[in-house]
Amino acid sequence: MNREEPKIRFFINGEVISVEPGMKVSGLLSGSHGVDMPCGGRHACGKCMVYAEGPFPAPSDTETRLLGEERIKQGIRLACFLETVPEGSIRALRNRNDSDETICLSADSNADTGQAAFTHPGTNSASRLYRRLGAAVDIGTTTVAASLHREGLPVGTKGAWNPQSVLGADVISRIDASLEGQAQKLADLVRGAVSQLLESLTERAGERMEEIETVVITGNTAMLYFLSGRNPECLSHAPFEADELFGIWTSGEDLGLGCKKAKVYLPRCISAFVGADITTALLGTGIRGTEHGTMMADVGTNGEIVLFRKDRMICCATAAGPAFEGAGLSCGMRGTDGAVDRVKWADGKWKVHVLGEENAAGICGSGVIDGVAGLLEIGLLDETGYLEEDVFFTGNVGLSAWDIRQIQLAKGAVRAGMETILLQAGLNSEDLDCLYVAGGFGSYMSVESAQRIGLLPKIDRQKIRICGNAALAGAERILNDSACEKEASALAAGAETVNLGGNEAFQDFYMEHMMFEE
Amino acid sequence: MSILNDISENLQRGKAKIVKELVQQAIDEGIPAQEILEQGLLAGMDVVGEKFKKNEVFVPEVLVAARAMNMGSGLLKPLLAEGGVEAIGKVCIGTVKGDLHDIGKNLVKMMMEGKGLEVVDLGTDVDPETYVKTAIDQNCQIICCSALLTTTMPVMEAVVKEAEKAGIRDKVKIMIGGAPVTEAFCRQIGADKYTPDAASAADTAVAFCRATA
Repeated sequence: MNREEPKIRFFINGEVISVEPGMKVSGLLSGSHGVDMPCGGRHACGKCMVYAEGPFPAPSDTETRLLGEERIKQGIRLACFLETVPEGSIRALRNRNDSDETICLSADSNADTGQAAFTHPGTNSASRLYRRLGAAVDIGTTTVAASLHREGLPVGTKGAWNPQSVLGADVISRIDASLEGQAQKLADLVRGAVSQLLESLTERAGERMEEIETVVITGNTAMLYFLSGRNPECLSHAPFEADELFGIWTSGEDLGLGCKKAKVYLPRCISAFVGADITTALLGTGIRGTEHGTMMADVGTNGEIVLFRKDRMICCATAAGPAFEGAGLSCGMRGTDGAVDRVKWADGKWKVHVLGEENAAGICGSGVIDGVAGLLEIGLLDETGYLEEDVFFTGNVGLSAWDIRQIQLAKGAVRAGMETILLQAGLNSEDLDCLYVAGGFGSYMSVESAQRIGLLPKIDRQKIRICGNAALAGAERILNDSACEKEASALAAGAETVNLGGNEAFQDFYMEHMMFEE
Repeated sequence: MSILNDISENLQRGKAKIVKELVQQAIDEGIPAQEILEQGLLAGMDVVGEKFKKNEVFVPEVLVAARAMNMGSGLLKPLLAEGGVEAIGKVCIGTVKGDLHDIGKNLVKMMMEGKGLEVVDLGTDVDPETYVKTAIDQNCQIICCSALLTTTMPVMEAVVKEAEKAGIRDKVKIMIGGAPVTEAFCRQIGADKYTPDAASAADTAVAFCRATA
């Protein structure tokens, strides 16, 4: 029988689509539908919850276990288990109403909170990589940020979710998806997201996307592989050696971007796990090798750490897991409306701040760190990380004993990475001249709480600089000053990478820093 | 008997030096080595293992307890060998080819040693041939494979195939574990058992060895 299946009507967030019956619902979702899928639809995380109505078959044992009876009674199902049925309807639990603008961005305000100020690039047209219109883009695993520049001056910045998250929340699950035949989809998704950002930025500035002459696109190594359609097989297993480190010129046409005529520069990566985003972040913060060492830590799903002392630069990447991004915890969510982002114990009770001043729907990374610090402070949590019973900060949002263990693994990994390269350089954290904390999550966390739980070393607060999306700032510097192109390549080429896998010092530090200080 | 209790208590608290001293003292008092091992060291590790299962203690505590146990069992080994006491079973363990994560694997190894099993540690980045060759050469009843990456999980299937090819599949049990591994995956590749944590891995391994003994 070669007859085509008749199409049926199916509803997503009230919008009707015409599909064949029996299609994976998760495959129909995109980032804009507001359904998170951190495990990439592998039936593992239980996060892709949707309200489902219609003749769907009853949930399987696995789905029931992931959701719990209570949610199923409320009509909640997991999108990754559902297949399309006639007149079936699914709806995201909460429509994502946060504006894209809140997602990133490069920090040039908040001087009083210690945010590093980025100097605006020079406007000398001779040194720029474009004549009139240029753009810089940072492709992060979770978010994509872009900025538009006209004659040397910034004219707009915008962020968006990385739509590749439907194929997995972390780099490894996306590499996996790529090897399983989704390479084209990964490329299309990110190219679409970049083009959309550039289109919206140019439109807002009264320009046309086609007139962009040059784009500098930074990102971690895997993101640049996906963007350029390279096979990431070499990134998927030990010895994790990248067969392309970029630092190359290509074009909008070759990359399938909306700005076809633009020249595109992809800055050089340092290694398979320390990407061009770190190269440009180094450039963006303008850090130099100081006498006693300057460190930069980008804390996210992966923690990338660089130590720069005199002429020597040592870096490493450590797998922190998604706990700081709000994924993988019992009430974890990203830092969007409804997320508890601040927690404090005061006057005998928990005080919380919720983003968007809404009812609390979950807790994001900065709230998690505050919460753990608070628990340690009042002695509900001991130095071994033992929590007798789950704690609720507000309503039913809190941390479970199991969550604490995930956080111990995450913060232990990041801190152990720092200590390992300090040891390699013969330094102590107290010696450091300066510690830059880069990345989206780092911008919002309380340094005090981060020090209390041991994520950051207890060094003089004045030495710690929060620098937001430094990766994008560095890409902008390259765009506006061609000399920075060479500087970036030299930085990347001169860095030593320490492999933490099987490193004995790292193992010891990891165990030590999994614990909390009394 | 109270000295064996002391050994167990100090082991649980990770006091390696005291454990070593107490074990020596017990030997000097003429307590049989096997008794010291079972009622002192292994009894202590049992408590740690149970607490780990209930999430009351975490990786670092297990590690320090295991270090204490190794200090104590080092003194007992020659005596046990003299007395012809055999381990209850032999296991080879490693993190699969392409994967360098070994914390979970080390934890399983410690828990298994804590149950009185002899463990051959193959380290990380282990290819299927090495698992099977070790199992044959060293007479292991169980092969344990760990993987932390979805991209390296498929190597576990290659280990099962390799064991079949070598004709030892009916003699050797294959156990798998690691964050992305699931029960369904275990069935799919034809391994014998998936365990979600180190303590239950050790329990399962003991049960397998008892069944074949």
